[in-house]
Amino acid sequence: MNTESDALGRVLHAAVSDVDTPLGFAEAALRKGKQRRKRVRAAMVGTALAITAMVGGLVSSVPVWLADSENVTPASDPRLGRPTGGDLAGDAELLSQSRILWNRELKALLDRLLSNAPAGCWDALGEPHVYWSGRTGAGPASVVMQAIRTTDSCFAHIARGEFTAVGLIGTDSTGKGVHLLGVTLKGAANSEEEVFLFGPDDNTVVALQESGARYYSRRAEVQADGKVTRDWHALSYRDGVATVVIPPAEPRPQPQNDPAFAKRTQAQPGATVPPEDRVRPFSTARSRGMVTGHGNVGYFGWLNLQGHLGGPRLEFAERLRRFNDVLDRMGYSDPAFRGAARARPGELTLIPMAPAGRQGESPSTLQGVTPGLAGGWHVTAVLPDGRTVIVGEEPINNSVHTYAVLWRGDVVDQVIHGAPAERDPVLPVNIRMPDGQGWIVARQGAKLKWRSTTGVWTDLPGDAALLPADAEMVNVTAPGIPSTNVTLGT
Amino acid sequence: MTTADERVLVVPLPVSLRSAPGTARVRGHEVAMATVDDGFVEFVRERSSALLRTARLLCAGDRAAAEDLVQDVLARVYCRWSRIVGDPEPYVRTALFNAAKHRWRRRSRRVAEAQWDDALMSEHPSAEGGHEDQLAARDVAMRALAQLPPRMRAVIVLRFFEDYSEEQTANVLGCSTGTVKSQTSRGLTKLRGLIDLTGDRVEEPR
Repeated sequence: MNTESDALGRVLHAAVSDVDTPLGFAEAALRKGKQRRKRVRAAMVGTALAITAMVGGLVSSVPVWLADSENVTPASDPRLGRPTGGDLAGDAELLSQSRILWNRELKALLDRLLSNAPAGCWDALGEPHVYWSGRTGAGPASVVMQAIRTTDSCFAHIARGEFTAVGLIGTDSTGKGVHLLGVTLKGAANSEEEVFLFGPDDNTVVALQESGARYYSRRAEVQADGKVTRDWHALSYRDGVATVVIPPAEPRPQPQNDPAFAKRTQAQPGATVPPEDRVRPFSTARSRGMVTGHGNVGYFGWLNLQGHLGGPRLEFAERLRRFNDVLDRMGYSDPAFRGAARARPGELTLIPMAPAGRQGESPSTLQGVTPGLAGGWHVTAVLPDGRTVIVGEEPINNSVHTYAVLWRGDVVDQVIHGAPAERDPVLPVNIRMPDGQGWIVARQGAKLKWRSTTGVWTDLPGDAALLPADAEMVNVTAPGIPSTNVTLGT
Repeated sequence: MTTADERVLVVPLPVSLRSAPGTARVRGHEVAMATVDDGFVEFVRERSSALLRTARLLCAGDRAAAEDLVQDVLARVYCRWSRIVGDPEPYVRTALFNAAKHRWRRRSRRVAEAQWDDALMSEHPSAEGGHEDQLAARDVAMRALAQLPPRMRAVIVLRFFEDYSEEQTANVLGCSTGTVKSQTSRGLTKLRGLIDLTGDRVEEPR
């Protein structure tokens, strides 16, 4: 710099050299910053409402012959007009990105949740509203809402009308980017409440106060005698949203967590949670799995097992009722999901994935059958001592437990707990009957043979069998599985 | 649609902040809000005097206007505080100049800046002796700055008080380097007639 520039610099520095901030300047700046953040949130909501009203007004002002027969109005859900809550509500970039992702990914997800509903089954009304945006154990997340109207072209079992779609924007559990992870459309189709599970192993919870969930239980504990209990903890809400990180269970991969939510706390760890107190969460791992093609089933769900080995032949619904009743009544099922309408987060939606030709099927034909287990399996047999048995599966903590219920006549005699199945077991059903009554083994579609201590292999006619007590090993051959010997009791 | 904050806080954010939410916020989500507030207050306590000096020059000596300007900028920056990675001062300084620019644009709502001698005397009601000479020199400097149009004043402050290059100045003010050059040249010409720029040393008050 030249002399003139230097001189000007010195003049300017000298002019302000004794300028200092007054006392309390920093605290005043903080206070004003907080006030400003509140004003910005309110203004953004106001703008969103104005746009919503404007769009609604424009649509409703088109000529009748162009407009739909139903009036298009903004949803009446008051949450759509509330200021954005959460500790990242002032992050305009995050809010903007949340709305962009919502607009980009809502269709794919909602179409899947509506069981591959045909295009045009629903319309989005107005603009999406970011209800909450904050930090969670699985990174920043946003709860976004938008009014949705289902249309005449929807299936019969999807209610028609206006609903609020509530979705969670966050990091995919596989760590592959930020997406719209899941959407509930309470009242229209799926029965999940606005309690989202996401993050690794669905271990992070974002629950909305309107869901009614006040308590959560990390996982069901299967006691040594096979009975199942749960501990409950209170959820803490702030700005209408509670976030919780559920620590992973050890040892991994099993047993896994399977969080449950309730409106009231339970007096006893094993007490059945009344259906009216249950809050069914939304597993985003499952919904993302539906979109990406990767997901965890959590039950065998066999449809074609040749499981009838003897005794009275019962319809599936009757077998299911008898089996579930005993497990529920005697405490062998998850207390958070007991009852005829036991619906679990792993089973996603009340709407069965209808195969071609069944799209118009009435829900009444499937009443009482848990959707995920529709057309499921049991092994029924008569033991050498005359007792009858039903062997079935019970999903607990997202893994499959096998149970055998034994009757002597019409009286329940005993319940036997099989070990939880591994992720991809060679012989999933492998359960010893009490009092030397043998073994029940099964794998759908497998060719089975067994041998005793004599070492002689005996072929079995089906994919399920009641083996004598001296059976020692089963050989399993199935599609994708080479001939494998499984030692019983290991 | 852009908000008032977006117009003022037009500083490019660090790259990590422009990525998708949740992908680059590991540090951020571990920070409780109380910690965020503490960090903000700590920054303001440490750097607000320097910011206020710049603002005082931009407001041509009006103490109240300068404090309002800095408070307004800090309030806007607070809303994005959790997203700032690294040293926040360059971000805040750029926001300060942007806020000043927008403040000048809102001419209809602009409050006339106080006369320098009014502000000076209310700040130093008991100025005495040799100190008066220094105050008089500053009075001259501020009066001279007040003679410049706001944008030209901002160019002069950036170039000769903040020691910004022509390119940096153009970036902050959102204009071309040619404009910066011409504004600098005209500003210096004006100031030559108002301040002694011959190189005589100006003593800073002790």
